[in-house]
Amino acid sequence: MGVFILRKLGAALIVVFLASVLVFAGVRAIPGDPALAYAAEDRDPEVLAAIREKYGLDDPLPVQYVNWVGLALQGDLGTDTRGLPVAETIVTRIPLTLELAGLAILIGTVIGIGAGVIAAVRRGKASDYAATTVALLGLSVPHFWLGLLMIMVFAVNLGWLPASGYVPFREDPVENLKHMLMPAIVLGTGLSAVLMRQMRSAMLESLGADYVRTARAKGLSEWSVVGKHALRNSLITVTTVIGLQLGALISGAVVTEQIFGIAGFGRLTVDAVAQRDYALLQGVVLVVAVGYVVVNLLVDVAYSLINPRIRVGGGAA
Amino acid sequence: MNRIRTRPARSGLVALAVVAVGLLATGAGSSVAAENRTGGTLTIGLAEDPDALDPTLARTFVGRMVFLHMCEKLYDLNARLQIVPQLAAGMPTLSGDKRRMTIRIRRGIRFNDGTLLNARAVKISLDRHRTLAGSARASEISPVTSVDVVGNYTVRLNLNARYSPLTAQLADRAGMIMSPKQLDALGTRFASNPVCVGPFKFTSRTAGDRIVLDKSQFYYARSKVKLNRIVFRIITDTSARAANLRAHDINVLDRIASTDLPAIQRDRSLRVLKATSIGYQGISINIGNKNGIGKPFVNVGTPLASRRALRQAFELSLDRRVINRVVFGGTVLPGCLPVPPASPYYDARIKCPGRNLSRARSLIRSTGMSTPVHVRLMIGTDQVAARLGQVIQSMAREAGFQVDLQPTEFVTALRRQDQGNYDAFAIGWSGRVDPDGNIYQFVHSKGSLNNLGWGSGRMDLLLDNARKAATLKARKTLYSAAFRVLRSELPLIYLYHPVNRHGVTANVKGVRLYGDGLIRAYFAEYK
Amino acid sequence: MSYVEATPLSARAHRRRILRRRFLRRPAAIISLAVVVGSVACALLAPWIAPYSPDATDFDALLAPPSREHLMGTDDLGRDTFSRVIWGARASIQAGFFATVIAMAVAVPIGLVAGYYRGWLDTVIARLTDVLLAFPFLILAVGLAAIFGPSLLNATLALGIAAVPPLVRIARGEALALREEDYVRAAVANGANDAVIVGRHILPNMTSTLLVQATLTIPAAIIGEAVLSFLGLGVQPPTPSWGVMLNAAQPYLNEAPSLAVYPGLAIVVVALAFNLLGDGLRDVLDPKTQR
Repeated sequence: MGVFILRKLGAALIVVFLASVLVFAGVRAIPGDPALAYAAEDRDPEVLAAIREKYGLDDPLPVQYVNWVGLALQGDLGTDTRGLPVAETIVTRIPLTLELAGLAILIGTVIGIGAGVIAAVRRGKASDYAATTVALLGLSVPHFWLGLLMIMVFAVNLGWLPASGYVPFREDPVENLKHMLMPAIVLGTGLSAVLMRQMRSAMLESLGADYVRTARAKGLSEWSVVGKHALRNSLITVTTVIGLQLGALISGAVVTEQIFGIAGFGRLTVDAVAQRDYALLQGVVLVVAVGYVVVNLLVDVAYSLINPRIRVGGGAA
Repeated sequence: MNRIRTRPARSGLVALAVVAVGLLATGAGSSVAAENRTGGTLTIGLAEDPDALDPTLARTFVGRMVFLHMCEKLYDLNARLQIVPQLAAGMPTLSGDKRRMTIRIRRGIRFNDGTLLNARAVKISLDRHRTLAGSARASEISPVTSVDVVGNYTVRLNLNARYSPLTAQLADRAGMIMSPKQLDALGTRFASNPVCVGPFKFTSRTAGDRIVLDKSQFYYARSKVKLNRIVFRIITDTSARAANLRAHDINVLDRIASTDLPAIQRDRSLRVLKATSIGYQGISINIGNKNGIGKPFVNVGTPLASRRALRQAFELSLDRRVINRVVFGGTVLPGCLPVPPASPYYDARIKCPGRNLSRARSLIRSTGMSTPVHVRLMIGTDQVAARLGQVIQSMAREAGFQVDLQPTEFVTALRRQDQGNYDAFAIGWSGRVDPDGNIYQFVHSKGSLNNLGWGSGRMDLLLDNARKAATLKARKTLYSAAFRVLRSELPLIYLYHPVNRHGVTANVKGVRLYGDGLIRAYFAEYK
Repeated sequence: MSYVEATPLSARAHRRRILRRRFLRRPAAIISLAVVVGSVACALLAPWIAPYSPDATDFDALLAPPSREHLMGTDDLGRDTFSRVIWGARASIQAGFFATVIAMAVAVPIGLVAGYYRGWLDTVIARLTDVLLAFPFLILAVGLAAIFGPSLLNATLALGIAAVPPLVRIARGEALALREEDYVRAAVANGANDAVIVGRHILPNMTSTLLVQATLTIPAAIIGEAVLSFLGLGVQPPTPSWGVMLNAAQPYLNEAPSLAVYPGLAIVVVALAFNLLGDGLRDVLDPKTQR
């Protein structure tokens, strides 16, 4: 057990190291001098030289890398072009995106699972066709366009919801949810469509299985049969689909934040690229990479604790 | 098949775990204190996120707006853009050879940390502006070689050359004085908690979201300050900013997009403040920037670079009024000089040409070039730049130019411009109060931003003399002559001067706007 | 071996007839096929179909409402929206088609190798696929656009790369399953080499699954192109593209909302058609998973 965890930990460290090198190199592969971005209008050669010196941009790359990693290990991700600590900026921006993603998953799950179960139970009936068609439509609508339409209808014409912006939850929970509702629906649409289709086929499969027929024959009520299978299948489907949709969800969040003017993590990343804010960009990507690795590690360990025979990802099946 | 199942299920767990952690963090992360609107909080929606709030390092236009409310300067501008003393006790006095400038400082003024402003504090700040690594001010006051404290409330600036624009520079960030105590404490991290003399003091900043300032209890004119708090919110999306103003979520809107203007003008609960910018927008043409900025000029050989007649034809193919109407909904001020009509240096005798297709075509014919004449025009990646580029393309086509648009992300575009890797670039300049700041760096052959690769002995002479000339009349004559050279050579085709329009909710009064386009809300109040 | 090769002609013809009959029984599939063919025709024949040039401006008719001259009105520069919607099909179809081709070209060999050889290579590939699956393609596209400049080509590349991991997974699964089929085992027992087995037995039997997947990848790529162009990372103005048109329409949501409606509808109609066609093809080619 200990060896297993150690091995995983070692692998995780290697991944983090590789990620840090990749981030560092990738950020510098973007053309455009950060000194230029920083100097903006005042870009005469003296100023540019001074900026390069201040941020150590003239140092050899390995030196820059070691400096960066050295400070990062102490929890100092450097300062961005605003003169603010990168770590602090990241900590304040992450919750926005996570709230958006969390609400989107919630909305997507409720709608997707509900519609999927109904469509499967009422297979071949009008409600099945309606749900199936709407799901397919949900897959075919670009969500940014849906966002534009919703802004036009609910914000511009009806004035029910704010067109954009964000209010911290602590400050005003109602306003917070009002601002988040449209973005979360927009982001949750694609997810609910995928979930609905998966859920429907999973339910159809298990409702047709022999043991279900047995259960029915034993006189169990239709709803308890459906309910039990709906529950079991929805757990599997939700985890499967969300795993598959994680990337799409993050991409969607970037676009959604753009349309609804939410200063979240996606927006931060895009702005950092535009600004060539090396410190910020490196910090952002590194935090994501470390987060991904850490969560993976925890899940691996948890899996092996639950069932020691499963060594996830270890060896061929 | 089992294996295929377990993998996604696992990454699903990963996702759920991430989200769960996030939802916990949501509650913990957002701890901005509740605002008391009726108690006098004014919210200003900024179009961009300012950079470092350190007067020595700051570079952005929006940053200047924030500084106005918390960092006063030796000199200030009045509503007519004339320079007036702010922290200085009077206008500076110059020695006979114009190489020494003496400034007296007002007495009894305190920084927002309660410490006293004196000559020593002024010297510390000016020296920091001159010498700190990465200082954005160093080039603005480069003729200043040293600063002497000649009394408790008097400093002397020693110059290595005559430099007329110096007072104007001291009326901007180069004249901002920082608290020596705070500088000692924070050093280069001053931006994390800046302390100056000002009606408001810095309270907090959330990157990309908001900057909060509170009323200062040390400010010398605090009886004039009515508001308790000013919050700058960063809302980069133009329509989002407009929507926030219409919902009264913000009280002041920095720069209304022309497409949002009609709706804001219709709204009775909003007022629009307007000021023509002191800058310009135009098309920079690469004439001789072949090997990069600062290198000797070598004509790049493109049609526009090699033939002046083609540049004239290109200008004549454009209709500045149509550009204004189509691209900006009639909200800008067409112009063909580097300074706007409001500037005292503007020369009304120089007339801008209208559109003249037949003359444009005959100019092209006179060069013997076969049409279409190719022009690669680099533009920005925003919606306005796209509209402008496409309108230029469409109008120039009728005269015989084929304009290829190259939408280029801003930083990449700047780099290409400095490398000389462009034919023409639609770009502008935010403008400086002194005309020198709108002209010298771009078209003087030694100009630090001369990426046109164009220069002429006559232009250099005119601009050098204008720097030394002391009277407005003399400088005006010199700049007029320089404008005429620019008009005939056309290395840069000036198109228009932006007109900054800011929205204000009608329940607020005292928000002022000068020609520099900066919002001044320090003495604002609720009706 | 000779037995397998002697009969296929008539068998194949027979199967084709059955498939055609199955397809023709599905009105949704037929309609969507018509829409797909129509959109491809728009893309190929835009210069002849569109009533106006897509960049012909009329500065005296800005944001004009629909009329007989301009079926969908004009945009902010006085250009005919209808013509631009037709021209916009080019970018979308190009991106959808080529991104799918790129993805297939990369994913199928990888998936085949992983599924056919299994072992450590399979583990590595499966693991990598897992990681890449969760990677947001938009971040990749932002990076590509920042490094190489925004263009349709780079957007297509990003979309193609983004579509690789799920296709690898499918190709691998198919290869894994087909490897266990009797005729493949027989071929292995007969000492056929790997290239022959993969080329003659495994790949041909995957084609229907791959075809369905391709049909379903295209609409995703079409939407992806719209997203990237909307963000300014794809097609650049003045080239008409539905995403570019939506981007330009954004400031006019108050004044001229119809500008944002037509290009969006075009995307939905074409993407829906491809999705329906894909579903239809799956039902026809693979009746096991029929609903």
